[in-house]
Amino acid sequence: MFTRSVTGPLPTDGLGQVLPHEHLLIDYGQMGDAATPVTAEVLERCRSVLIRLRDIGVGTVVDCTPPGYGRDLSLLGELSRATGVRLVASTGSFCEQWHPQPADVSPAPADVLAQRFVQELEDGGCGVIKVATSHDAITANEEKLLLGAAAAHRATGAPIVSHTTDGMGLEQLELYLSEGVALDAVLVSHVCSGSEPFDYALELAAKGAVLGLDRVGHTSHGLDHWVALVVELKRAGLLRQVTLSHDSVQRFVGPAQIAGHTFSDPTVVTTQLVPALRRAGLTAEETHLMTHDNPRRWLLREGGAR
Amino acid sequence: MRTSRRYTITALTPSVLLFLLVLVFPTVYVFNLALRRHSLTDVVNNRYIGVQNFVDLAAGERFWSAAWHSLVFSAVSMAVSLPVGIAIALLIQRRLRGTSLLRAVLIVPMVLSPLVVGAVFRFMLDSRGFIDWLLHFVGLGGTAFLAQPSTALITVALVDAWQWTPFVAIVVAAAMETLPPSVMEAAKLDGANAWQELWHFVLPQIRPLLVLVALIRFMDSFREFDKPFIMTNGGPGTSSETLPIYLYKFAFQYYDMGYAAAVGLVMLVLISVTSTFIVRRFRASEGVAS
Repeated sequence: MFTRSVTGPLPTDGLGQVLPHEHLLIDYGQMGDAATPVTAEVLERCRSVLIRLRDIGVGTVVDCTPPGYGRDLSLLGELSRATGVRLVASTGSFCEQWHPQPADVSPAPADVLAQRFVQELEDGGCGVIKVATSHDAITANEEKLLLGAAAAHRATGAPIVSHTTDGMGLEQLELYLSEGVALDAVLVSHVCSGSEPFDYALELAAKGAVLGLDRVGHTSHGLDHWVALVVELKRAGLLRQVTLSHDSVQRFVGPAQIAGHTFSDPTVVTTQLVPALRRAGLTAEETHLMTHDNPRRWLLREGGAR
Repeated sequence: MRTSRRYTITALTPSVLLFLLVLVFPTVYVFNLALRRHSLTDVVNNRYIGVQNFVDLAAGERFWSAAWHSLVFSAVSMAVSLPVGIAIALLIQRRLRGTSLLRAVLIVPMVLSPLVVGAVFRFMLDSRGFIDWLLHFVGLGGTAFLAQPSTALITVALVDAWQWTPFVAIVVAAAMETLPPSVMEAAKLDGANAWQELWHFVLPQIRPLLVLVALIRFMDSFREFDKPFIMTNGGPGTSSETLPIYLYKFAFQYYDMGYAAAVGLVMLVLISVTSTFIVRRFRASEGVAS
């Protein structure tokens, strides 16, 4: 099976630079049928950001907003067609760290969630499965979510974006492994964007997972932090598992505790981090690997069973 | 004249009420919070759990690591700011040309917000920042000080020392002004050089004040939040995570208020115990019974 974008199947080449973890819109109100209308101004902001990305070589963006959190597939399709940037939408759901899950997710058993995810992947225009865990714990509902994602992955081969909140990536990988998921299909998201030591990233990569260094640009860590981490990963020979992204969002409506940490510029990897990595001694091929080849391999499941 | 009981009560009531409101109530509240599982995002499971937060804390490697980082932060900051501050105070006291300008300039770091200081130094210490350029210029080669686990904590502590060395200098200089000139003159007549004069005459006489300065510097640096927060946020990993940052993360990133309250109480105890230790050591060495 192929990976879908919101406008159709992704081609096997010509994806350009891939940003594997971004958001255009997040709106927690959607799960209570109280979504804030998307104004022309917001739409224009999304459009201009995508055009800017296209102009600097980004051809594909994975929008990691799951249903209930403001995902709007028709709007994503409209924006993709208007700008020429391929947008890959997410099925799945989110963690309970800051807000309860949507009412149709938390009580649902794993197999029901899996069926829902499969349906969205096969007929709903989604390309990846987004799941998440809280800090220092995988709650019972989150475990169901991960089990559902594993089952949906087994059925469709779709890649998984697995959000972490300051750690728990290793525990997630254990669960995926026990469910028969090939770890190169799992992008562990937000690696070392909190208090995790660099060794944590090395350990995740050594187990075969794809690393999402995907909070680039956020104020919590400067560019030097990401450069130092990538240099460590290069030293360990693990660059083939590194992807770079921002976790940006153009409009956030949701819990204040998250709103305070949002970030809206998805160009930093291309315009600032890559040059900084080059100054730190990485070659153009190595940065290309992280910005183009690695996320493409994960997204298209090249080399993996589908 | 005997004060009437009624007058005493009337006079004391406002201050007692204020004391209860601003000190006793928050302390009791925090203590109560520390005995609860109190999550802001999972309120249905909040309940009393006794001393479990303290047990978790004592068993947590990350807590002890943060406590150690706080001690290292304070030690480095004090080890730099106290001797350098005393040296600057000596310079001020010599009333050389430009001393009044030096006094004025010294105040600048102290009046800056620690957050501003942290942000400015974060930019300067960036791998393309001024300090990196300077090190390259003198042929030493720069490094991303804040992005290396081995240098991040020490670097932030040195910035803290930079901000508060003037405080030490100004207070010590003021204390030196109060010393009777006759003692110094007698020391000079006895043939004491500048170092002997400082070590045997000046420092012993301003010792009580030095202890006070050390105490203030310890308490301030141990509680310092702003600069580590803006410069490293405790990273890379937890390599520069001090107790205030640890507390902040549990309270305002993970929303575990009960555990964060327990951390706050332990910090309070650690600062109190260490401060008492410093004061007692001072009293003992002064020959004052404690």
